[in-house]
Amino acid sequence: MTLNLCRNARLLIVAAVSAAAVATATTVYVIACGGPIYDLVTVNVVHPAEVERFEKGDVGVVRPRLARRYLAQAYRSFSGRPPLVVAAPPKSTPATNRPDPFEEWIGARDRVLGTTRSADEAFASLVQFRYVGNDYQAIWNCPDDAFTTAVKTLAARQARFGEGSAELRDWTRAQAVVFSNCPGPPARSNPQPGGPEPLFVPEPVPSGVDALIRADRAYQTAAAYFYGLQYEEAARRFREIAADATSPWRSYGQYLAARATIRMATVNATNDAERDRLFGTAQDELKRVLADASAAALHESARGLIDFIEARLRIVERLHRVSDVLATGTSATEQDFADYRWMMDRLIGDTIDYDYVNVRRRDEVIANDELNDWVLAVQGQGTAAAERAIARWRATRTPVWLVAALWRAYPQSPAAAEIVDAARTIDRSSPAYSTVAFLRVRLLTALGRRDEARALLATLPNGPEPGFQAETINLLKAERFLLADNLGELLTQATRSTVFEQPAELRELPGSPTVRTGKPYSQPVFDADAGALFSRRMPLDRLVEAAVSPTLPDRLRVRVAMAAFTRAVLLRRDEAGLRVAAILRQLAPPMAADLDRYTKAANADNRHFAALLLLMRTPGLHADVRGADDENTIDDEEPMRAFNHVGGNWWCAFEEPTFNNSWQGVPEVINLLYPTKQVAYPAFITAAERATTEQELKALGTAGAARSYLAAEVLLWARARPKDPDVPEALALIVEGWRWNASCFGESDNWQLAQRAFQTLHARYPDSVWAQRTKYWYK
Amino acid sequence: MRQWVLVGVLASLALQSPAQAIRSNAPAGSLPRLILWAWERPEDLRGIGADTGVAFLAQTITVAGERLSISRRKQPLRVSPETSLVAVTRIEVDPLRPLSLKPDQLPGLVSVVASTARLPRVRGVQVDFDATTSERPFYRNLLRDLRAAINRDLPLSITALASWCEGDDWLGGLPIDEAVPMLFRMGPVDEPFRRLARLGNWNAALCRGSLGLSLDERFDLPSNSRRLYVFNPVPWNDTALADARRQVMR
Repeated sequence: MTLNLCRNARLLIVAAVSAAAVATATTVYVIACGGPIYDLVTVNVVHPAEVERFEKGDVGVVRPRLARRYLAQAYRSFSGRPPLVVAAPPKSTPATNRPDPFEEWIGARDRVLGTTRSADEAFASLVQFRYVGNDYQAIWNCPDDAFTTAVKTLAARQARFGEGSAELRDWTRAQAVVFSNCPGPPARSNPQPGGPEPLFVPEPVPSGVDALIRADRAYQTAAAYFYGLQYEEAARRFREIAADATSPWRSYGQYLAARATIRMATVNATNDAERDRLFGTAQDELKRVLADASAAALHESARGLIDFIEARLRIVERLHRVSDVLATGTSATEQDFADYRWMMDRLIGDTIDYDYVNVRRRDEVIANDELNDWVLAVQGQGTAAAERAIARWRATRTPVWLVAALWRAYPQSPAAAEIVDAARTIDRSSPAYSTVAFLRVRLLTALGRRDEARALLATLPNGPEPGFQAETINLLKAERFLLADNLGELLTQATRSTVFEQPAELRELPGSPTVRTGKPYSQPVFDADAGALFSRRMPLDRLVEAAVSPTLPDRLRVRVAMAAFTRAVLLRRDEAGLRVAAILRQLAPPMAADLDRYTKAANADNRHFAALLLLMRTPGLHADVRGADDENTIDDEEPMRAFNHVGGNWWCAFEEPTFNNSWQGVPEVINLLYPTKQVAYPAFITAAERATTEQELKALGTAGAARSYLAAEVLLWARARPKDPDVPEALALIVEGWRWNASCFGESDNWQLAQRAFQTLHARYPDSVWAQRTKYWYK
Repeated sequence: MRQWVLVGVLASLALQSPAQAIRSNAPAGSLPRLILWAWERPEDLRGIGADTGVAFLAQTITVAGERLSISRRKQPLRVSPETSLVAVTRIEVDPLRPLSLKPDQLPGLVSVVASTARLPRVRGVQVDFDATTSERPFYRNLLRDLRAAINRDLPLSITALASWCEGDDWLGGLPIDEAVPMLFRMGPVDEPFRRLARLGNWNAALCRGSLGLSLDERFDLPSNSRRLYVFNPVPWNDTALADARRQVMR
């Protein structure tokens, strides 16, 4: 058994506390935990669980809330195109061995000048980034390339003028001045208070010096203005360099003038018109760079900057071009995906949950652009998205639009039946097959054509195979669970496999696929659907039946058995309690002695007291069944026999579970398969059983949260059987349990029960070891 | 000679507890009662008025073993000139490469955090670091040197895990003006900490003057004249601001 000490995703250290009702010194337990808690996920949200397979065309069930880059890949797959080859970044020295350009520069500079690095140069990023403007945002003012170029130039000048030469020292000193503009005032020690930001410009060279030295200084001076945020002057000087046929920097002049002009547009421009004018100027300059064969080394970068400008001047046009690459090209770059994401985020919002009708410039975005049209129809919410998807499917009758129509069709839609029937035509070899099959089951279920849905499910795989990744199998199992015809089926389909593990807070971040524990989680797990169904959609007798059945693996079976036993005690249903006690005894040996006492009790009252003592001694006994696991609960194999100081003791009130108001969002399996976000009764649960379930839940609700119920019952027990030798222990555990079961939101705070337990313990059993151990009571 | 005396005094101060070394002249009381956290996303808060401050994420420092990387804020924050600003530095530690900085790296790190104090109109500095127990000595030293590095009139605050406010009081003696109890994303331990927060009598005195809440979680704690820091997981708008203001009135 494992105690779950850490249960906090955002805050890395947690401690359990409770307000002591006494004024004396309070013992406070502080339990430090490191790192976030990883949720074990059976169906991921933004990223497919197996990204590599997905990007090779094995897309599994494609879902609307996947990030748009994955939807683009899926669109290709469903359109019959081969997976997009994503060009690998240029090969370079492995990161661990590659010298850091900034460090190289500092080393070279200090070697030439005999200087040592200052505290302001402690970190490269401190020097390279500079806050600009009045918006508290930083730009990468001096990128790595600047230092790389400086180091190379230093080496060239050393070769030309000699290692100890005055020319080399002068060049290096001037370059150091140039780079002193990089960080800007906030990162420098003792900045000038107020006033304009200082600019550091190298000294001019005297007349008559070598032409190379003169050209270098002109370039360094222009660069100083650039890093000093004086972009207009920098651009002017770079243009002069471009016009100087003798300068070795000539081919850079035009390009850097364009970059300075782009900075003027992004940093200095005060209105859109000015910004657009400056972008236009920069774009013209970049086109001249492309026309200059001597600047060939800069052409790729110039093209990238032109695209950058296009995305800002004519976002929709640029979006269409990138979209075309992603939809129909044979290869793309990571930059294409980044651009697509940036532009779609600008137009739609950085979200996967949005209303179709609220997308800015939607008509322009989708005009003659089937990828965008499809992405918005699949992902956007509302009837307008459904209408668009269905209209496009009717017009094209293609698998890609069939998928969109299936996602968006709702039972009342006149086209629903037509779409679900059309879905039968998709061949099993199609990349869209698993998506279409999943959606066909979903829509058939919504249309009430349950038998057809089950028949289709019966033809689909039960385990992973090409086209059916583990995540897809989990989704199919969730459908089978939803459509189960009997308890055996339900139990078989309740278990899933972990396909991903991730802190809930990081689930939607772009880079999050890499945030994993790296541990194998091979044990079967429940998801939220199973937890909710066992907890709220089954009468006690069915829970007992589920616990008795050997279908579930022991780790999950014990969860069901715990809930069944606890409910049996609360509902005073001894026959149910006795049945499940035998199972619990087998699954949780540490409880055996207490369970034997319960089983062998001479009468109902004795059995109830035995049950109360068992509950008191086993805070891990819950009345509900936990659904999804995390990296801690996955190791729980039997109920805790000691109070967990950070929560998880006993149970709270029996309210209808809701997923909508959770900051973690609705679990994806609920989101995809339960339109009301509530788990429904299984079909095999009869009307009478449903009524029984409701009655039981009402009765359990009346009992309230665990600590109040147990306190009241133990006080009654103490009054009825004051000589029972276990009463002092029970009273003491009430006091302790009151402290550690404080996490139930909304529980009426009847702390007088704890006070009464404390007073009874000390008044009637003052010499007991339990009274001596229980020095305080807690509100 | 005078310089050597000064060095000696400083050295002796360094051996004392942080609280004895440097104290602020300007307690956090000089800041508004409502402060909005503005995290790494574009925020336009020009209309919030002078009675509301903004604690903005100025930079994130990531520590991986002995390596540090600094990511300055890359998203615009627009505020009006009268808005009080608190520059927040978030410190994160790579879970796979525990913090193992050398003492000689501390001055550089301090200067990075202190640099945010020199951003325009910044009236407070805040550090957001969920330090584990083993990281506390490092954090304590960082705060000690940071206090010495920034203007003594500038309030220095930290975000505090709720457990720090009620636990072993390691906050005691820190040279800070305020520790903001972060009362969100707490999972099952939510309720006991909220009860303590409601009472406001945390063990750690530094926690008693403020509350840190999030708009997407239960927002039901009375501020009781405490300063309220409010986090919003999505960009701020008028509705969210109104919700935050209502909370301050409770």
